[in-house]
Amino acid sequence: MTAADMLARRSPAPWRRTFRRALIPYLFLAPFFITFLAFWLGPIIASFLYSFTDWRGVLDAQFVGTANYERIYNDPRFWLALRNTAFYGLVYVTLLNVLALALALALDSTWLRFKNGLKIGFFLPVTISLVVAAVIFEMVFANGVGLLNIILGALGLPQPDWLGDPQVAIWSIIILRIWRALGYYAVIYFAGLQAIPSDVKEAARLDGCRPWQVTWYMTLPLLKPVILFGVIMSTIWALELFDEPWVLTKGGPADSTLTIVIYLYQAGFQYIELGYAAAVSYVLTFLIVVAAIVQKLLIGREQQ
Amino acid sequence: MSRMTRRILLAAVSAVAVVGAAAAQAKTKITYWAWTEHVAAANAVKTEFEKQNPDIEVEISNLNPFDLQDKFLVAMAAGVGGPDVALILQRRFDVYISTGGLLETTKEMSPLKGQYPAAVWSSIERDGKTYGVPYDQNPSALFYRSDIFEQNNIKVPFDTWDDFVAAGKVLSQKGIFITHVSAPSGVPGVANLVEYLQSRNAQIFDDNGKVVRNNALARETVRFYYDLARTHKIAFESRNNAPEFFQAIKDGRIAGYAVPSWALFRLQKEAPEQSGKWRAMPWPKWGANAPATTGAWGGNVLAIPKSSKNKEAALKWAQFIGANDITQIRIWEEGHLLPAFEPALKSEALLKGESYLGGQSIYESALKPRTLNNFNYFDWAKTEVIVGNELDLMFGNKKTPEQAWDDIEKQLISQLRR
Repeated sequence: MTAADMLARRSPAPWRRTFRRALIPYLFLAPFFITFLAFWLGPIIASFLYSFTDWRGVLDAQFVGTANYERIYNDPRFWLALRNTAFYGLVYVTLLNVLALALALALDSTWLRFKNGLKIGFFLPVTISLVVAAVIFEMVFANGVGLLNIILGALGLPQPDWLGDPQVAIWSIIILRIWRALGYYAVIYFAGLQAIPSDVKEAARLDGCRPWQVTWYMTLPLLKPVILFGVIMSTIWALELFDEPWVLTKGGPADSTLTIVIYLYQAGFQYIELGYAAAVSYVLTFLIVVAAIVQKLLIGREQQ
Repeated sequence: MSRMTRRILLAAVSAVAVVGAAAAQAKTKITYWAWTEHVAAANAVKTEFEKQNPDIEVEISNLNPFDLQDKFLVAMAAGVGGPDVALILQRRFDVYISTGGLLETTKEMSPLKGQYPAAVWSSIERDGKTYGVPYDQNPSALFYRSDIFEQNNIKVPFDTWDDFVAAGKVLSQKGIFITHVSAPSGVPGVANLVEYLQSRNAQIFDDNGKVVRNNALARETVRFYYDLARTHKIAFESRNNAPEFFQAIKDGRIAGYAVPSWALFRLQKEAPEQSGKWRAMPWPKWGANAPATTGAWGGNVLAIPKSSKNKEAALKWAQFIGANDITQIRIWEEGHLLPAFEPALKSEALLKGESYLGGQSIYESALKPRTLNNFNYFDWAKTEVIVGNELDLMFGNKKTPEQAWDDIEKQLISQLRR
C-alpha cells in the first residue's frame, strides 16, 4: 500500500466532507427550529385545527366544521368589539404617531432645552408596570375626586365620568395607552432622525429652505421607513389591545371598551370555549395581516 | 477507636442521614391558591395542619381573586400548572364543574351534607355528585353610621325596605346617601344586584337550570334597585370599589353599606378614623309579613383539580379548612368570613364584639336573625356579562328597568339555550 493510498483511506470522502460542512450550520440553527416547531408552529397549527372543534379543554374535542366561524359572523357582540377596536386603533395610531413624531422632532431640534430630562420624563412611563399605571390612572380618572376632573373643574370645563360614561370610557383607555407608549415611539423616531445625514438638511438650508420646509420636504420623506415601522407596529398593538381596558373597565360600561382580545379572552378563559376562542384568534390574525398589507401599500408605495 | 469501629460508626451515621433525607423528600408538597384575607386565614391554620399531617407541606400563594379564577380554569384545561387546591367564587363554580376537570368528592363529602346550609351545598352539587368542599358563605347585612342616624332621629333596625327608603329620604335632604349602588355595573357590579334578587328569592334560573320566563319578581327587584339611585336618589352611584366610593365614605357622604360581613375588613382599612361609629343590622324584609331572609355577595368553594398529583393530601387540606369547626372559626376571626360549616356557627367566637362597631357582634345582631336564601347559578360567567351590560344600559338611561330585565331574559334564553 502506498502512502497516497493510506492518506486516502484516513481522510473522509469528499462528499462526506461537503456534507459535514453543509450540516454544521444547520446543527447550530437546530435549537431555534426545534423550539420554533414545538412552541410556535405546533400551537399555531393545533389552534387552527381546534378552531373547527368545540374543544373545552378537559373533555374530548368534537369536530363542528365551520360552526365557530359562523357563530362569530352572527354574534353582534363580536362586531361591536371589532368596531370598538377599529375606532380605538384609528385614533390611537394617529395620535400616538403624530405626537411621538412631534416630540422626536422637538428633541432633535436646536432650540429645545433640558433634552435629557425630557427624554427621561417621556420614557419613564414605558418602564412602569401596567398594574402600577392602572392604580395611578384609577385615581386620575376617578369620578369627581380624580386629578383630571379636579383640573378640568378648576378650568371651568365639564368633568365627565371617565370610566363610567360609555361615550367617554374609550378615551380614557386611549389616554392611558398613549401615556405609556409615547416615550417608546418617540425614541424610535428620534433614532430615525439621528440617522438622517446632517449635510442633506444643511444643503437644503443653504439653498434657502425655511425650517418647516426642511422638515416637510426633506426630513419626513427620509423618515418614511421609520414612520411605516411605527404605524405598523402601533396598529398591531392596537388590534391586540387588552391589558388597559381589562384592568380599568373590564370592557365596560355597556361593552363600550370591549375589544376583540377581551372578547377572545372571555370566550377562552372565562367561558372555557377554547375551540371558539381559537377561531376568534384566527379572525384577529387575518385582520392584522390585512391592516399591515394596507398600510404597507399606502405608506410604503413611494419607498418601493 | 479502631479504624473498623470508626468505619462502622460512619456508615451508621450516613445511613441515618440518607434515611432522614429520604423521609424529608417523601413529604408531599401541595399548593393552595387564594387571596388576601383567605391567605391570612390559611396561614393562621397551616402550622396546625402540618403538625397533624407531618407528611404534608402546604405552600400558599396569594393571587388577585379574578386572575386566580381564570388561571385555574386554564391550568385545569391544560392539565398542568395549576395548584392542588384553589379557592373559587361560588357563583362561578358551575363553569368549573362543567369542564369535567374537577375531582369528585361525593364519597368524602356526602356524609357532611347536613352540616352546610342548603344555599352553600347546592353550589358544589351537580346531578347527585359533589365536587370540591364548601368554604364560606357571605350573607348580606346592613352596615350604617350610628352617629349620623342618631343625629337625624332615624330608628333602627329597619323592619322593611320601605322603612329603609323612608330613612334614606330623610338623609338625602342633607346630601347624605343611605346606601350605594354599583352604577355603572359591568360584571363586577352584578353581585350587588344579586344580593337583592337572592334575598327575595327572585331566581334567574330554576333548580334545573332553565331561565325563569316572565320573571315578574326579578323585574320588580331591578326596578327597586334602579329607584334607589334614580327615583329616590338615596344611593350613591359608582363602580364597585371605585376610589370615589371610598372617598365618599371617608367624607361621611355615605351612611350605609348593604353588603356581607367582609365590609368590616374593608371599612377598617379604608376609614379607620370612623372606628366606633359604624353598626350593623339585619337585611330589611321585603314586606311586614315577608320571610326574614337575606342574599349574599360572595361565598367561595375549595376546588381540587383532577390533574392534581396529590389528590389525597389536597382533599385533606380542603377538608381541614372547609369542614373543620376550629379552622372555620379562625377564618371568621381573620377575615370576618362567615363559616360555611354550620358546627362552627355555634362557637362563642362569633359572638365577640367588634370595637369598630362599638362592641357589637355582627353575627348576633345582623346575620343570625336572617336565613340565607338559595340562589341558582348556571353559566354564570356569561350571565354576568349579559346582566352587567343591560344594567349599564339601564343606568345610562337607554332602557327602563323593565326593558332591561326583559332583554336580559331574552338574551339568556337565546345565548345559553336554557
